[in-house]
Amino acid sequence: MRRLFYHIILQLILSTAFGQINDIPGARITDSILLDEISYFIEQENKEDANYFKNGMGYLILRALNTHKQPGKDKNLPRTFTLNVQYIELEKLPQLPTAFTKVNSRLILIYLDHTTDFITFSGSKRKTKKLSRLIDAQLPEKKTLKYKTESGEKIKLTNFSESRVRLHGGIRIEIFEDGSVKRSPQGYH
Amino acid sequence: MKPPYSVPLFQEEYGVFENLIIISNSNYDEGIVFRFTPEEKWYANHYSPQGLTNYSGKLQVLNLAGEAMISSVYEDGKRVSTDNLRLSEEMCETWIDVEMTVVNTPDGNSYLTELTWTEYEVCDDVGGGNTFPPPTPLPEGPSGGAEAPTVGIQLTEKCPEGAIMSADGCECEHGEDDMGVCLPPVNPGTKPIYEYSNKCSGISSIWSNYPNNEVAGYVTTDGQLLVIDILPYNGGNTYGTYDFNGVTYYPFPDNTGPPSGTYQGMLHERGYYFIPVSASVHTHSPCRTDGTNGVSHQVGQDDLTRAASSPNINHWAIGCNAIGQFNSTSTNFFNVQTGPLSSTCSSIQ
Repeated sequence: MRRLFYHIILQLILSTAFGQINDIPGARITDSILLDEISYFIEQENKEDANYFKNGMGYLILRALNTHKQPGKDKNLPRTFTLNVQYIELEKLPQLPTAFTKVNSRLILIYLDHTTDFITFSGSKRKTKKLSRLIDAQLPEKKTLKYKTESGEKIKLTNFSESRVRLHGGIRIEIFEDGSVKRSPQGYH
Repeated sequence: MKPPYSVPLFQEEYGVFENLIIISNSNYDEGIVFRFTPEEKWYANHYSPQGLTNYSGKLQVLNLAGEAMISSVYEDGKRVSTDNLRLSEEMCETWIDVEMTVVNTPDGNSYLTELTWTEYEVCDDVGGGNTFPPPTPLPEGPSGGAEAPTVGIQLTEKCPEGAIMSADGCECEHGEDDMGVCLPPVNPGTKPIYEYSNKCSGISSIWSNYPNNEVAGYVTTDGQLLVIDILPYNGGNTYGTYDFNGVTYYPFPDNTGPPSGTYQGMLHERGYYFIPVSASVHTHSPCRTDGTNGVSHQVGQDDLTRAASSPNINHWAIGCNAIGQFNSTSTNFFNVQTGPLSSTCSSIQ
């Protein structure tokens, strides 16, 4: 009961002093070029997958590949990102994201690849539950199917859902110092 | 008290995400987001020669779910007040002290280069077990519950939507949820486009007949091949698997008819076929023109996630005179074998 009390107090604090906190995304991308590229990608996916992605299924993974650029150096080195559509649950992802955000109402998980040098993400289920719920909302509803076989055996299939995987989609985005952008399909690389 | 922890920061990291700095490390089991408000002030300070030394505003420390753990107010670069909002799992109140390090570079700019934070925990000294009330039993649905209704009663009743009458009473045509409510039909997959009782014949066939496509399929546990999708070079969606009782199945609805082959361990229950599979396969056709053998490059992001979504089976890519296995934990192919498919395909299982 004591734990419950503390949780209630916490909720009160969050919903009063910081009324918007529960709605704050984990991150906000403010790079306008990158935002334009993400919007374009979403638009293209809506056209190509009118039955599924356009209807709100799936989320994006944005990966920043070379954010090691140092101030005043590497001016000709483009900032490089990959962008992919995914339909996988958070629990199955090989690595937890660095952060998440939404662009045009689309959930985006953000990975900053270079941070893996000194950062290990090992969030407990409890602490990633909220993000997990956000992802699950973009996936087909999980169901429990109960059957009885001809021999009378009762079978219960738990967490059964439409299962989709992506094969060789996604794009690679290179943003150069002068603002020019090179966009290319990832293919199988 | 945990020891102070510092991390180096790279300018580009918050150049992209502006007022956000996202940090975590193995000492902390969650990501931490530092959010500065007002943003305008942060931008101004970020790019000014003074850097953050005169920063005035609020610093919020959020967890990955966007919940505030701490909120500090700064005036002229000095922290003047802190509200700690976070309670840990052990009912401990957590206080975080954050220090920022700024360096001035020869080009006149200042950059935040290091964050140091110290975490203090003040815990309750009273234990106390869980006293949550026991869960309320779920109501029984039209066909759920411990006991099936008797035939006599059910025959005089109309079955609810989605249910059909059987000798045991109303039963949901496409299964039911935990509340006993009938579910609509789902479309978990598609009937295989082609089926090959000999996997090697099948793999050779999809490689030879679709040079301009990426072809995806599954090898069944009894050594047959299901071809489920033929996609363009730039990829697309295909269907995944379902794990049940330690077996990975390829499921698809039976309204398009049964598979042409027979498969050991296949389930056919209430509108669905479940075929046990041991491996996924797909072609890397572009290797015909890109100068690689199709499995010598790094494993692509979608392939990594595909492997992660079906962790209990093997995953193979068919390249040019080479095949390779991949999983979700490495960006390199392994078990790479070269030679004609006729000699290497037996390894695919």
